[in-house]
Amino acid sequence: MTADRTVRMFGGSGELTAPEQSPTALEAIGLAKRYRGTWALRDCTMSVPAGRVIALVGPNGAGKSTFLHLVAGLITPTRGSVRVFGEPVGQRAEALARVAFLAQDKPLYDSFTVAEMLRFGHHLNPGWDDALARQRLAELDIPLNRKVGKLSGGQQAQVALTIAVAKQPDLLVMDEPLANLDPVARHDVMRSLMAAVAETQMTVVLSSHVVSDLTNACDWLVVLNRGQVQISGEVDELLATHRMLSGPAELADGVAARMPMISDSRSERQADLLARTGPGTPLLDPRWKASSVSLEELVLAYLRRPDTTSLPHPTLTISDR
Amino acid sequence: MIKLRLDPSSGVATYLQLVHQVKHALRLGVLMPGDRLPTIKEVVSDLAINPNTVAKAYRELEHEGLVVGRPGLGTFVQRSLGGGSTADHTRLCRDLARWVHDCREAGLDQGDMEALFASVLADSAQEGIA
Amino acid sequence: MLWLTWRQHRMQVLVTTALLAVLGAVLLISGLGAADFAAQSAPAADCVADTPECGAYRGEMNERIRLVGELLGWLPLLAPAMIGAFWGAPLLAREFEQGTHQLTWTQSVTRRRWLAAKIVGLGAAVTLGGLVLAGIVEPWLAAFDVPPYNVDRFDMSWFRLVGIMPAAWWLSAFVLGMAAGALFRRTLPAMAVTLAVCALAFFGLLRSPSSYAPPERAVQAEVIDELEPEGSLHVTSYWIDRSGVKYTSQEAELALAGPCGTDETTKKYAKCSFSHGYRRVAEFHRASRFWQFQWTEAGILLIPALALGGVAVRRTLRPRI
Repeated sequence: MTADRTVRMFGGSGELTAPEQSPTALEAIGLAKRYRGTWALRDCTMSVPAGRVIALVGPNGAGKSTFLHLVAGLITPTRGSVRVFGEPVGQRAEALARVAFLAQDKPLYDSFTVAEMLRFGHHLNPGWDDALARQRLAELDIPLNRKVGKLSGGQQAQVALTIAVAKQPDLLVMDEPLANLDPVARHDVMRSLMAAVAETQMTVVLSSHVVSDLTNACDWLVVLNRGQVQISGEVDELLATHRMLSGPAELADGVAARMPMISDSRSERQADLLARTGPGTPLLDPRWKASSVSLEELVLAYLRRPDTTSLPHPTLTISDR
Repeated sequence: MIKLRLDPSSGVATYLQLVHQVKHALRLGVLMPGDRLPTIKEVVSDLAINPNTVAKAYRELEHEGLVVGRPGLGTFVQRSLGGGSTADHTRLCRDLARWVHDCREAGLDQGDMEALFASVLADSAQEGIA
Repeated sequence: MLWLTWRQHRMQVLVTTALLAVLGAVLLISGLGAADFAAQSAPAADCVADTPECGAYRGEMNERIRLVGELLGWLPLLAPAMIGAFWGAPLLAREFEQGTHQLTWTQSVTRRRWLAAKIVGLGAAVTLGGLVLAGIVEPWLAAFDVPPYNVDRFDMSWFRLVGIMPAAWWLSAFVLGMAAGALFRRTLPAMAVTLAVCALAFFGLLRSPSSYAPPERAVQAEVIDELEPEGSLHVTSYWIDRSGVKYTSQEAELALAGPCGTDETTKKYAKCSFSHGYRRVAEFHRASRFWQFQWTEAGILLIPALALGGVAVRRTLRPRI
């Protein structure tokens, strides 16, 4: 294990395995959760390949936390099922060992020292990698003998992340990991998370309501809206299959009839259509100009049209590139 | 070893930005054959980006035969980039400097020059295809 | 797991141990003093006749036992309340309050095992603490139990400090606090409710032991007759006349004031009242019922507490938010 890790850490190109061949890391089928008569999550179906960093975005109250709690096995679904690497989640030691969870406020025992938090992780996890945990904290200059409650918010987030990573999970689930952190801490947490992903090849699901936080870190996007999955797909592919089409307003209806429109804003002369054009450049009247969209624009456009529940790409197949 | 950077406002896909930077370094001679590229972990812990993005950029470079991955050792530069000899570079650079000077004489500002250069470049590319 | 339980609750364990140690020291000093005094000054005579030495000895022993006994008198109320509020209530409430249950429940240990370690570990410690309290009070009482002074465990002043009573009270208060914490999910309300219920239980059961079984009844058969055997738990006493009509002592006194005078302490008065057909009646429980009553009260406390604890455990194990 240690030798293997060393190779992966310093190997560089040893890491060039194609993620397309990975098995399914996370699979939800008809997942639903109701609290006292209100559906927090309704019929949520998705499948995400292993080795990805998955961004779960959506407005507040879209069911992100509920979904993540279901994946972490903290709550049980009202209907449907979640599987992590093919195995159902739940209160069994081996299922728990596979998933690490970082809750929204990154709870830690404030009265524990950092070293005691590591001991906590060590006692409660058979797969615990103590050397990894200590090395990470040393790199981050977090003193082991300091009480957790005396650390800064960013340092607490790093300790919580270290505990999650040292557990050596296959899947790391994080609920709003960057909320309540200052910009420097956000960047630092993201850097150390990405380093951990590079080292361990674990799959990560992280939620946020700020898309810009996740643009470069995530390679898979899941958009939850009103308790349902609106988008699930590879980021590059989503960006490649959506175009902002700008052209004369009088031709807009014709274009809109040919492909799915996500957003449609027209003035007297000009129309700006965000369309799912599919792969390749669409063949259009030369008066139309097609430009690429940012992930943020794409997500916003979808969120404004909750009725566009059609998924941009079949979720279960992964495209060849 | 080179340090990779990102320009979040460029609108260019992240992995392409990385590819361009490595190629740029190869053209300028900052990277020479035999040099090691930073490991994926080094890049991601610097830039806070997805390791798969870096892997994709390195795969692209490998595909073009510019770099080669040696398992356990790292990713190494295979060959250099850039057409023409050093002498050609010096001469062309001088010509371009003269052109810039002329433009300024004619009252063009930097934006005008960039637009002009880009359009000429595009036209020449079109001719190349045609 | 045991380490975690210890680390999280060591403050309570240490404080309780320290308080028991202080109490032990106080009782040791007091007990040694009493034993010393008894060895030197206990009258050889059996004190059937009330000699001044007997009176002085009894008075001194009474003074000595009262000094510490008044302090101990608060323990049956205070100790369980504190155990419930500081050992039981925070056990789950603090985890919920600080969100740390989300951290602990997503490690590789099942919620069931985690909860079992906490409840069994701390429950055993609390029970042991209660037994230790009884274990230090009993030798102290024994030091005073030197004739002609006698101390008996069935006396309500000591009943809840000896045998299994402290252990039963402490354990049920602990379980009550734990349950309150699990149901309210906030430490302060859980503590308040625990304190209130402990106080209610204490005052509610204060005089109940005499009704744990039908008392024995003894009627005065001769002038000088000790109705209650030594070590009995007194329930009530009254007078009856020849026709069996009940009188309280005041009524009997009033009725006898004419023929016998008013000085009830003399033998003459006793003879007079006896000859007029008045008989004293006592209801009591024999000392042999001590353990029966200890277990009865333990059952009264533990059965509802454990039932409530069971509900709380079930609610905690059932995955909710």
